[in-house]
Amino acid sequence: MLSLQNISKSFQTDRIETIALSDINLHVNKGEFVSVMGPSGCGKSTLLNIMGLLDQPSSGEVSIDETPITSYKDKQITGLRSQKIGFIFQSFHLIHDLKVLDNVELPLLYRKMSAKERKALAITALEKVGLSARIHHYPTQLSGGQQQRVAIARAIVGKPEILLADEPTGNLDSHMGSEIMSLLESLHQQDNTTIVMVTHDEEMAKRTQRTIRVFDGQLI
Amino acid sequence: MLSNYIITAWKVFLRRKFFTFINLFGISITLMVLVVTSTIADNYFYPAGPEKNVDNFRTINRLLVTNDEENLTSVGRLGYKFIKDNVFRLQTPELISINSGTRTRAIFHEGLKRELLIKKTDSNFWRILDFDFIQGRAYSIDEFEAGDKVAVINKRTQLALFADKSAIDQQINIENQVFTIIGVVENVPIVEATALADVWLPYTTNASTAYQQETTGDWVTLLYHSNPDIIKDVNTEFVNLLENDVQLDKSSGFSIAIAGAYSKLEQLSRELIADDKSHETHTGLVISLMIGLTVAFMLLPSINMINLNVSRMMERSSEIGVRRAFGATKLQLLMQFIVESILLTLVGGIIGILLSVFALYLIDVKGLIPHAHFSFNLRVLLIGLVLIFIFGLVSGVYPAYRMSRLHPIAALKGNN
Repeated sequence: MLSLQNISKSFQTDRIETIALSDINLHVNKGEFVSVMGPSGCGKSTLLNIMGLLDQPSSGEVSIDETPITSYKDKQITGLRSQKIGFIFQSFHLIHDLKVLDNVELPLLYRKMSAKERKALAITALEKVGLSARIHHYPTQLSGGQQQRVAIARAIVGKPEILLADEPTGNLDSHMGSEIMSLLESLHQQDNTTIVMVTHDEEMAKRTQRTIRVFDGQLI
Repeated sequence: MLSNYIITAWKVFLRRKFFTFINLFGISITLMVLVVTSTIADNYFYPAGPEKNVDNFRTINRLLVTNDEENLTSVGRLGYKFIKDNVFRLQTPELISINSGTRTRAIFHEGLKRELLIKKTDSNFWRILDFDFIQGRAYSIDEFEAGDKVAVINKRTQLALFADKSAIDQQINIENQVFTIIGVVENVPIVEATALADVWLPYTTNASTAYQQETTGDWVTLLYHSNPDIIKDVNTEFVNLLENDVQLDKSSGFSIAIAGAYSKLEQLSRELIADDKSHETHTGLVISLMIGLTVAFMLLPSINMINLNVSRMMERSSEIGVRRAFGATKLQLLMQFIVESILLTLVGGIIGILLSVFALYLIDVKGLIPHAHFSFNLRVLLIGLVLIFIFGLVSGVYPAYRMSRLHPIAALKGNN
């Protein structure tokens, strides 16, 4: 499904070069639920960004469905992200100017689809996360857990094959965090969605099928 | 996609009411000032009153005479003798009119003192300028040549002196002479200085004929041709005549005369950047200055709006990151922000135009610019629309371009 071969990533600043990832080889199977763990600054988020095609590796090759995408141009990569990948962020990143329904519809704006279809799909996604009664609320009118549910609805509305979650429970208390984790588990089981989740929480990681550990930019 | 951009923009405006208000305020007030100024300038250059055939005539209203050593110089309006000896030799105009500068004179009517603007003219004055007669008529060439004591007054004077009664055949005492009123015309806007007066009299009624011997004096000349393309050339003929064959009274000591027959724009340019010793009109420079001032006036709110837009978009960097992550291309983001900016400018523009109409109405009703009838015409509307478009582009495109180039990860981190 998702494969990284010899991936390295370094950041160049004025004086020094920081190596974030070094020679990473990783394969995530279709329908797999994988967690990524490691201390802060070890390169977990960079790894997730490269998997999500938000960032490009300094060297190595990323393949999706056996197709290398290294030579893809920005527009092709954007199209691939739109069709195949959904993102869940630690701080939700909901757009506060838009209502819940509009936030969830957002990924569909960049696909050829009628407003009616968009709305129907967004409502279905919100039903899945148990928030269909809040479609006309603004994000700031919701609790942290509810906001993350909206973010999950936004991530799944386009029925992506891969869901990338960067510490989705990091800003929530343990109860809310557990609820969100249950939601991800049910999405994984019901829709066979491939999920890669970065977490600091061993308990959450235990609930996934496989845990990848990163230290100093390398898999251990 | 466009409808999505518009809907999103609309939602953002409604949600960020203070920002929307500040932006709309800036755009509409700037535009109102520009449109009102443009309308006044438009009325000046394209008059709606008696000077409406402005393209058909040129004005000579200033003369410099000097001697060979240039140690004896006189500058001012034209003298009657100079006009008769020189201007009347021109071949280009079909009609030439001599009329005086406008003077304020106190008159007494039914025991009340009134101050009126008096202008003395010939009969050609009425043929060249297109006055709107409410009652009666202008004085004929016969009445003019005979020195008949007849007068034309404007509506304001009629109302002040005779209220609701007809002014025709009524008498008016000016400078110890009694004139019979034969015509009433609509008030002349103050921007039409060539035609402007409250009372017009034949100059042949002057008590003295001493003015007929003057080289410089208080006279203005209008040169008319029914074909605007022909009258354009009159200045060249006049300047050639003055340079090669000027007729000046030897006893006056003057030997050189410098003057020109100018359009309204040329006259304004010369008044602003005057050098009486040159024929140069500097119209190009004055137009550039006007454009420069307009740009400068728009620049300040534009920079302000660019600043406001950039900081507002910085606040929205998380949104930009999310949109990029979920499949928005750079072009789609650029378009979204440009649509937001143009839509905001458009709404601000419409408010600005409505405010301009209201401001022009106030200027009209309160008579801030006497007798001027400022209406919102198609030309000013087009200028307004162009200004709105430029404003929208200037203040919206740069911030939109900057934000669309943000890397999604940097945007998500709020690291701009």
